Amino acid sequence: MKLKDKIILWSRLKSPWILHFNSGACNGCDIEVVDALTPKYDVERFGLVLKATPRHADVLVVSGPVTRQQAKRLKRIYDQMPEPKFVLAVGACACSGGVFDGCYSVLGGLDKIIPVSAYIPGCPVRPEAIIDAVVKLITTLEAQNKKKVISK
Amino acid sequence: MSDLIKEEELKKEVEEKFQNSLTESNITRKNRIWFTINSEKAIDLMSFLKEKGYFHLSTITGFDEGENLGAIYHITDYKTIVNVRVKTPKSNPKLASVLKVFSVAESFERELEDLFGITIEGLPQGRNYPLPEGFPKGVHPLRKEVKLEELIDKLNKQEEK
Repeated sequence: MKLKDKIILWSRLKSPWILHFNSGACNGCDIEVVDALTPKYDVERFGLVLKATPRHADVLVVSGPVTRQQAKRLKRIYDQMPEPKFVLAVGACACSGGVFDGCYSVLGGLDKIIPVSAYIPGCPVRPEAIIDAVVKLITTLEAQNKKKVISK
Repeated sequence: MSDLIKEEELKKEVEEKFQNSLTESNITRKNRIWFTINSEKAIDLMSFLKEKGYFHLSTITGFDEGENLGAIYHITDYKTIVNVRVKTPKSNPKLASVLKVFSVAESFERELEDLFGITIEGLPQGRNYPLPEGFPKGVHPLRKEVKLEELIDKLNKQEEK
């Protein structure tokens, strides 16, 4: 592995930047995401920073079922993110459609539109669950990259 | 009835002023007044209410009674809520816009147009508001005759195209 790649991998693991997107949630999960970011739970100590634009983000955090109105916009935002990109589905609605599944204005879970890296169930999710998911995401990334290095 | 002085006064005044067009008026409890009025005179009644100090249109509720469609305008002075009910036949649903009286009404009226299919006269042109772009025309999901399964099938087929 070249030094350049090592630096990129280190920075990616030490500080995954996130973008929060509401695809039609009732706002319960949004508040829990904010709760996880602010000082009491403080995900920022893992280097997670909330960004305002998809072009700066590595992880897309989506809360809520995907409505027909938001589906196109969500796809577009996902396409704007640079590779490699990861998606967290926060809450029961983002995982499967939840209580809104079967409504004419709702398409269903998040995985109908974009590939999902991790599902976090709960209605609303607890901040601990979000932190757990983030840590697991980072550790699996680390493990994958170590494997790659060894195999090379 | 001593605690309904304000309500009784307003009811009396409105009944005198709109004798011919008012079809129903009652007070359900303290701070809740209901009027049912012909659609032609609804705007006049609402501007009269605004002069009386009921300055805030909180929302518009749409309803489907089978033969009639309609709307309820909830107007308040932050204490008393005056509900103005207006009906229009389903075969040719038409209501006049209240934009001139309450300028907040635009989004509520767009919802009436999209979800109930009531034509609002005097509303400026614009795209679908609560419904997504490309929603099948002539389908108004909050009407009683719309079947949920059929609508979802139709939408999914459209999505596949």
